[in-house]
Amino acid sequence: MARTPDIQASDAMSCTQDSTLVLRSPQDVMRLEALGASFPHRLSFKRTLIRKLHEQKATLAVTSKELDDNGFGHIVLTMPFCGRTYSLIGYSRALADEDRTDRVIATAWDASFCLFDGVPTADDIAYLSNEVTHQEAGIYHEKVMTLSRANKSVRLFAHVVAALSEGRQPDHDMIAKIGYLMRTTAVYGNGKFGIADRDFIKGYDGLDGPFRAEMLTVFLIREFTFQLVDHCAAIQGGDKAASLAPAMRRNLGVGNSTGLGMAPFLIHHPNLFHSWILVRETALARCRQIDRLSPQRQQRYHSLYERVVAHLGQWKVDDEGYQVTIAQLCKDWAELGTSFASLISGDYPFEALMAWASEKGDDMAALMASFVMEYATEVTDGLEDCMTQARDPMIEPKMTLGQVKELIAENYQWAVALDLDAKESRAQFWYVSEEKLEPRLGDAYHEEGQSREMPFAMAYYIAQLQEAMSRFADEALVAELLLRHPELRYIVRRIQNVGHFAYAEVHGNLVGAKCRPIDLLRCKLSFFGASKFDPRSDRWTRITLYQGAPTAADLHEDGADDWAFWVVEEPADSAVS
Amino acid sequence: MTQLSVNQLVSETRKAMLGKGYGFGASDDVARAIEWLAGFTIIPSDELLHLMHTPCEGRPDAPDVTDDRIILRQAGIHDMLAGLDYAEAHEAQVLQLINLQYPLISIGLTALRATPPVGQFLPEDGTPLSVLCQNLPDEIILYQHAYERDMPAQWPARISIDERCYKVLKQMAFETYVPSSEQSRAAGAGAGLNDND
Repeated sequence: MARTPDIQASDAMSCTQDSTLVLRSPQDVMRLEALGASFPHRLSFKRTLIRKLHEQKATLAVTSKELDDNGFGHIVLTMPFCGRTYSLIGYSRALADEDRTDRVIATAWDASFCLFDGVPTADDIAYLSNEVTHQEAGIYHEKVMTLSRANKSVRLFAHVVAALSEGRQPDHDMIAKIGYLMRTTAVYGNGKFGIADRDFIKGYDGLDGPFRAEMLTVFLIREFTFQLVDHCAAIQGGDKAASLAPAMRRNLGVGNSTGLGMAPFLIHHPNLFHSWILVRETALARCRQIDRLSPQRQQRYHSLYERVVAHLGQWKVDDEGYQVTIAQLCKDWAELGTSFASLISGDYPFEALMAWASEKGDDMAALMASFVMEYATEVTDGLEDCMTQARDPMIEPKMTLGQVKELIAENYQWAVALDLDAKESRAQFWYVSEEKLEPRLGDAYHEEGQSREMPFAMAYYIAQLQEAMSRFADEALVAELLLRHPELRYIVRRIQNVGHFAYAEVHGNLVGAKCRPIDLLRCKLSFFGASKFDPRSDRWTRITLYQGAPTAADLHEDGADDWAFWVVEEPADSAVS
Repeated sequence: MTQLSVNQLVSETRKAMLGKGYGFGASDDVARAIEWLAGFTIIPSDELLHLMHTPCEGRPDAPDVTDDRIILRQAGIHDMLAGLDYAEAHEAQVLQLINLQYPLISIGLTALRATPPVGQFLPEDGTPLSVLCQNLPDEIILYQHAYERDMPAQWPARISIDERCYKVLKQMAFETYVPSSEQSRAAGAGAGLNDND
């Protein structure tokens, strides 16, 4: 039997292959610190969804709305898109303050949602009202494509309702600081709890990109929050109530609280992760090959430069360490101003800008990567089609152990160099709690449960493998090793896989004392398109999605895609009642 | 019967294998095999039940390697994986499995070794992989026919699984979860913070 190991011709590889491109090395970009500095960019999933919605001229309709005077009830928002019709069913419920928590262990929320395939009937809405509001505990069918829930930003929601009910627009500074009326605490897809499998809906036009159904859900949740706040203001203010102004809506996104649950995905789906990074790196490498920019393009980048100044200025967080990083970014970006004009008008402007940024460190390099990609549409757009990855890692039993050792030497220097005897090297363990299956991070020396940890201790598995391989000749085959050591199948497969998918593996010790899960969270969230990361600890963060994005009402405007590094500006119509 | 999404079954299978004591690699292989079979709405409930009620296998016996074939005299999960590894490593034309314990799962495991992983057994030289299975029930022929097809054009909306089987899988999956404590609850992401802001 001779299998054709045609792994190179994988989805992302085949559409990004260009031997003239010089990509940044995995040793550089896959470090935890580099991943943790990621910024959203024009190939992030929310950006590509908005472009698709714009291209498809998608429109939104309220197909059912039954809310009481307290704003409790349901709203159904329906959007025909790419030849199919999708609906968000949103249920709004009373929630006591003591029950409002963003944690996975919550059992009640201000609002809960599902993305429904088609237009739900009254029976569908009634049936799902008792399921969706219980989220993980509900019973679902394949018409339900995603599940989500959200809590109000209590102070902003109350403020906006109060202002609108009095015929005023809400306070600009509060909008700028908070940025959302509700924040989701989970968005589930892909067959979770019995909803539709991703493989079941992957042929649905418009939902073919990674997390596309989830991104559409969040976009529609944003519209739900506008509907809800307008309803509550109208009830409270009667005839004098104002509607939230379009420019105010634009300044509001959807918040999200993200904890540890998001990080394991990147480890469990190494090839998908690789595809995302490869696409970003390919786009960046293509940008760096651009030799000159037209005066018009230069002008656009000058404007974007100024927008970044303002965007960074509006990015305020409570975390002192993060705020220091942001302040440094502001300072360095301002310093760039003196040479920006000459760099952007010179030869290979993006190469020059990236060289400058890389000298400043991971945060500036990540910011600059997003910056240069923004208007280089001719070399970036379309790459989003390469961000899926169907192929799972596969064992290559014919490989010799000598070749395995070479792969370790090439790709796992960080692991080999680790002092495995040091206590801090294995200070933490990742696990799933019995309590509502909440993902948690345990203290290896003070908590029970390490025997049930998730398989993230790569450096230790490599050490076990090296010890086992030491009893075989280099010419021995992987098949022979695994016959004697079936327990090493997992790490052998990862090592072999990274030989084909260079960006598949995080270059860092995920169980070490210094591992900050938030670095993984930020990386993944940047691909979703999250901005204004607001870490609440090293284990979870709040972010905002779609702030600055066109609303459903202005999806069709020219320039609908131009909202990177969004700056919340006081709208001219803010005083209009 | 219990109606599930494919992902529910795959996820529970992976965890149940871990809970049973299998390694991450073998657990993932079995879960992927189940996913492949589920694509054809083939759910090997009896085999999963048997697997969950049988002690975790140890190290497999070395297969017999002849000029043209690999022969395994026991064929549990580890044996099957080792057999496939050997067949591929030695470019064997025939993989002979004796006392095959999990015929359907084995077909799924075998199918995943094809490239692309869609059940088309077309190695470089065009010779179809031959899997000879002894002591098999006659029905295996039907399933063998199934794995010679491409993956289904439409993924099944729902799959049906024997209730007992799913219950056992969930019980075994539960073995991978860590009991909660006040300490772990307090250390969870987002703990101790006020979300009424």
